[in-house]
This record gives sequence, C-alpha cells and structure tokens, in this order.
Amino acid sequence: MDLPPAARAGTGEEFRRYAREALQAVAREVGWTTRPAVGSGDGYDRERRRELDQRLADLGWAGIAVPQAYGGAGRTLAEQAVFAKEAAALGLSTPYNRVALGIVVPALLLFGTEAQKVRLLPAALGSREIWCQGFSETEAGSDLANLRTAARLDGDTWRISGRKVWTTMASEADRCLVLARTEAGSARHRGITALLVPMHQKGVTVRPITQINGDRDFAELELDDAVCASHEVLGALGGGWNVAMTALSYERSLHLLQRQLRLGLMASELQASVKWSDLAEAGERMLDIITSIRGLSRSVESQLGTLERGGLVGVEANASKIVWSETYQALARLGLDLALAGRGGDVQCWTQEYLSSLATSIYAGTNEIQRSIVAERGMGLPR
Amino acid sequence: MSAPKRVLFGELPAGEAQALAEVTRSIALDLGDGRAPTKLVRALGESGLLGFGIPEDRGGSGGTVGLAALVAEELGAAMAAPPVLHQLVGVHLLSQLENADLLGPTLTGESLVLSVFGAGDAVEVPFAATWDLAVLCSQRGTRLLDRGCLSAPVDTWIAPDWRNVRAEVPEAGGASNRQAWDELTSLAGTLGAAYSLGSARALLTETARYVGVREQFGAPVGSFQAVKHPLANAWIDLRHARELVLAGLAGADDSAATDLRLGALAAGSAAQRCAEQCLQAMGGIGFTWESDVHRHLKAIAALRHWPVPELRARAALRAELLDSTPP
Repeated sequence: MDLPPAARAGTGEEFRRYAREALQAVAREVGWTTRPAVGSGDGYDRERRRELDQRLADLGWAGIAVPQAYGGAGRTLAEQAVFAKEAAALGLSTPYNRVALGIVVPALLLFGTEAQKVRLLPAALGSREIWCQGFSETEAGSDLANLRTAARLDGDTWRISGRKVWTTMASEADRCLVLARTEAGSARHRGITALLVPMHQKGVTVRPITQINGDRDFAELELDDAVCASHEVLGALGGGWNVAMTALSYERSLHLLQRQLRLGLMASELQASVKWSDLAEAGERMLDIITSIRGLSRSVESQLGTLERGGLVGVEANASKIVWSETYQALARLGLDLALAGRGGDVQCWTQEYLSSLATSIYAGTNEIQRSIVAERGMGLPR
Repeated sequence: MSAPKRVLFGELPAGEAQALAEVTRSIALDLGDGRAPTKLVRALGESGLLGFGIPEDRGGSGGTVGLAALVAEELGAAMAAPPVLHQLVGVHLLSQLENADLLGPTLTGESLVLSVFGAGDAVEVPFAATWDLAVLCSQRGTRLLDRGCLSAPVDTWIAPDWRNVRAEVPEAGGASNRQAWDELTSLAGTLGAAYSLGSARALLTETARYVGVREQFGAPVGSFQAVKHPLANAWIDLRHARELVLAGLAGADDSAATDLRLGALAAGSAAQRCAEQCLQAMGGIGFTWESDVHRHLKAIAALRHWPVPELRARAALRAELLDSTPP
C-alpha cells in the first residue's frame, strides 16, 4: 500500500480517505478488534492500543495538528477533527497517551521552549513516553490554588516534596507535569510553577487507587525529594497557574470532540438495540439524549471553528463539558435500565458505562466549578 | 451577560446580520410595547422585515427563513408583543394560496393575519390580538378561515398584550399534504423557537443584573451557588439549543431538518425552564404583574405548544427517529 504521511495526504475527501486507510492498516497490523463502543472505554485492550498509536506515529499519522518540527503532521484542527471521527469509528476515540495529548502537548506547544518542544513532543505524540499530570492534592481539588507541594532550587536541581492525588495513568507514566509552589510563603495563584518531572526515580512513589468500576487508572503520587533539572520549567517561573488553566481549557475543547464522538456511537448502538415502539417513557428519555448529543456536537464544531480561526474558546467549553458529562450519565442510566429490563443491550457493559460515567462530572474540574465559571465569566454574576 | 458572538444565519456577513438585528430591535423597542401590534407590524413591513424567505418577485424580501428567524429572535429579545409572530408566519402560509392579492398587503404590514394550525373542535390559537384575516394550515392544506370559526378571546394565559382564541376547524376532505404540513409547522416552530430564545436571553440578562445588585445576608444573591448554578444551567441549555437551531437552518439535508425540529423543541423547553428560574431568582418581584417576567414566561410557555402541542411533536419525532430502527 502506498500510504503517504498525514502531512502529504491531500486535502478534503482525499485526506479523509487516507486517514481511514492509515487507521485501518495499522489496526490490521497490530490485530486490533473494533468492539461496540458500549463497554469498551479507555480500559479496552490497552496493550494493542498503545502499539497502534506508536505505529501511527511511525507512519506520520500522530499529532495531526501539531507542527511537523515536533513530530506532528502540521495539518489544521479541522483535519484533526476528521481524523478523530475516522478513529472513533474504529473504536479509537481516545488516544492511549490521553493525558499527554489532552493537556501536556497543548501546554508544551503554548509555553515550552524550542528545546523542550523538540525533545519532548515527538515521544509524547507517539505514545513512547507516557505522561501524567500532577495538579490535584488532597487539600487542593476544586480549590486548586490551595496546593502545597513545594519545590526549591538546589544548585541546578529542583527538589520537590508533596503529595498529589487522582493522578491518571501515574502507574505507567514516564513523566509528570507537576504544579508546585516554588516561592516559599506564596499564597493562592502566585508562586506556583509547572515542572516537567521524570517519574522513574527514587523520590517518586505511586500508589494506585482502585475506583468504583474496578479500574486502577488513577493513583496517589508521593513526591519525597523528587528531582528534576533546573531547566525543566514549563513557562515562566511562578507562571504555573496560567499554564495549568490554559492547558485545562484545551483539554476541555479538544478532548470534548473525542468524548462527544464516543458518546454519539454509544447512543447509536443503544438506539439500534432496542425496540422502542412500546417504550414511551424510555423513548422520551432517548429523545432528550439525542437532542443533547446533537446540540453538543454542533457546539463543539463551532468551538473548533473558533480555535481554527485563531480565536479563544471561552465558557462555551465549560458549558459543553457539563452537557457532555450529564448526557453521558443519562445515557448510561437509560442503557442500564433497558438492559436490566431485558429490552436490549448487555447488562455488564452498561453497568461499566454507568459506573464510569459518574466520574465525568467530577474530573477535569467538577461540574459545580464549571457552573460557577459559566455564571461568573459568561453571565457576569458576582463571585 | 455577553451577547452571542455568532449571529444567526450564515448567509449574511456578520456585519449585515448585526445591522438587521439592530434595525429590528430599534423598531420593536419603539413600537412593540405590548399594545395591539398594528403599528409594529406596519413598521416591520415598511422596512421589509416581514418578507424574508419569500421571493422578491412575489413581493417578499428574498433571503431565507434564517433571516426571518433572526428577526423573530430580536423581536423576542425586545419583548415585542408576540402576536407579531402571526404575521411572520402568516406571510408564508398565504404564499401557499392561489389568491396572490392577499400576500402583498400582509407583507407590507397593512393587513394583519392570524395563523391557525391544525384541525378539530377547539384548536387553541395563542397570541390573538387583532387581525384582518385568518389563514388555516392543516394536514389537508392551507386555506383562509372564516371569522365565524373563531371564538371570542378566552382568558387562558391572562397575558397583558394578547389572548387565546379557539378555532373550530372541521377537517375538510381531500388529499392530505403531509410534506407541506411538515414544512410549514417546522417553519412556524423555528420562528417561535427563535422568538423564545431571544425572549429568554433578554430575561436572563435582566435577571443576572438583578441578582448582581439585590443583597441578602450582606452579599449579592447572585454570589450564592444556589442562585448562580440554576441560572448557569439556563444559559448553557439556551446556548446548546440555539446551536442546534442554527445548524438546522444552515444545513439543507434531512439531518438538518431533524436538527431544526429537535432544536425548536429544545429551545422551547430550555426557554421555559429559564423563565421559571428567572422568576425564582427574582423572588416575590418576579411573581408580580408589574415585573416583565410574566410577559416573557407566558409567551414562551404558549410558544412551546405552537404550532403543534409539544407532546404531539415529540411523539412524532420519537416515532420517526426511534421506531424506524428495529432491533
């Protein structure tokens, strides 16, 4: 097969065709089986998933909208969206290295030095270096500015101590984007710096946390005199708050596309697996869900359009995160109800989805925090 | 509250759409004060704002229904009397008739029209104020309706600027024209939804201002999450419903037609929830005749079931979207 890398894969329909071919070829090569979206979330066949992303990178199909100089394909966000849609159809809606792609890569692109970008981005895009993100702490969840992890400069080394929690993918991560207080005595948003910390070292202990769905996808991260070189600062010294907030807003608008695509697939599967004609109440719920998903999809499209034109997406992304998570929860609840009533769908799969869905209104900023942001920044309500 | 950045309806450059919105708003603020809509309709007609979606060679203003929706949204935002919607919709119903003489004066606003949808012994017709002719749209087609078929105004919603009337419409024989019915009800539903979205947006803006200054416990009530979050929900739901309506208007395929119908339903229920939350956030003031909340609420609540009662519209969509895909 003569498959060009994404950078030279034509435009429009031609690009879409090549994207599909690249994904299908690699899926065949690594033996990836596309299963229904329901019941195969981030935890499904992770080994092959990682291999698949690595092979895509080898062929020049990673980081579609990331500049070529950093291992990407230098295409547009619209083309990245096309690729994401084709990937979702094969059950590949979320990339393996999802914390890297969702948060670290955008942060590096916006705040990294040239040397950092050249050194770190290719490995992150190709799932060769796995990243996690050390923001939250036990006393700094929704109130992130209350974080206490401290770093002090000792010669040309940062020495970091503190305890992070809810660190997704920490168990397998090679590097962590850590928020730490680098200015002793500083308070709130000031004096926080983003550090790029290697995970494989004596001072880092990872304790996986078992979740309600049985997964052990996140962990507690203990940093006890963990070290990183003095040049491993992302963005300005003391500018970590800005780095984190910008990164999180990217996570919302771009990740949202992938999440919304998977939600759409699950809804279609449910729609097709049930005989609705004698289920008026469930049908009503399904109609609301379909409406939400379509509104969400249009909203995400228009946000991507804004980003594409060089604009900034504001509270629309916060709003869509709420709609996405609550629609997912409503769908999972309905799917489970119908499966338990013997009206279609697999009970085990829908139970998994139901339990997993409950995390979505908590992570990436709880929905309560999102609502306050919408009210204060979108509507001008007092803090 | 920041105004939506994207103006409805992509076919106009943003600047022109903005100008169109502003003209509509200024006319509505001048003349849409809740009295009989005669002057408002006339002014809109003279500015060519009633004829979007009707070809210029038929006396219309050209363009698409999207532009009519922009006008409707701004009328809603300016809280113009909702009877004006009959005119915006009625020109499209009249354009279906053979008798072309009726369309012209309706487009210029000289003749006021009442748009009646459906058939039966007691069809509820909201927003009746004053009209010169009534036009009926049913599954059997579109025709003029005799004055004798309409009841005296009834106090259903007790709105300050309009009443319901009831129409007695025996279903005529003849072939049914399902496609025309679907198109015209969707058009009316879209314009109604646009009016509701504008109305709810304006009410929410006013409520946000109020809860920012009204103090209890030594702080503006809008700083309390119990007040803030329901209003944020309203904002979010209105935005998403509007995106769906926009997408439906921008597209031309079956999927766009579905988006439009789903969007209109979503807009209606989001607008009503919004109005209820605003009433709650305003406290006792919101329940008074003196405040504007009830004018918004009543128009929005009535529009939710116009031209087709919501339950019926939802059942039709359910059948279409869900029952057609057997397991």
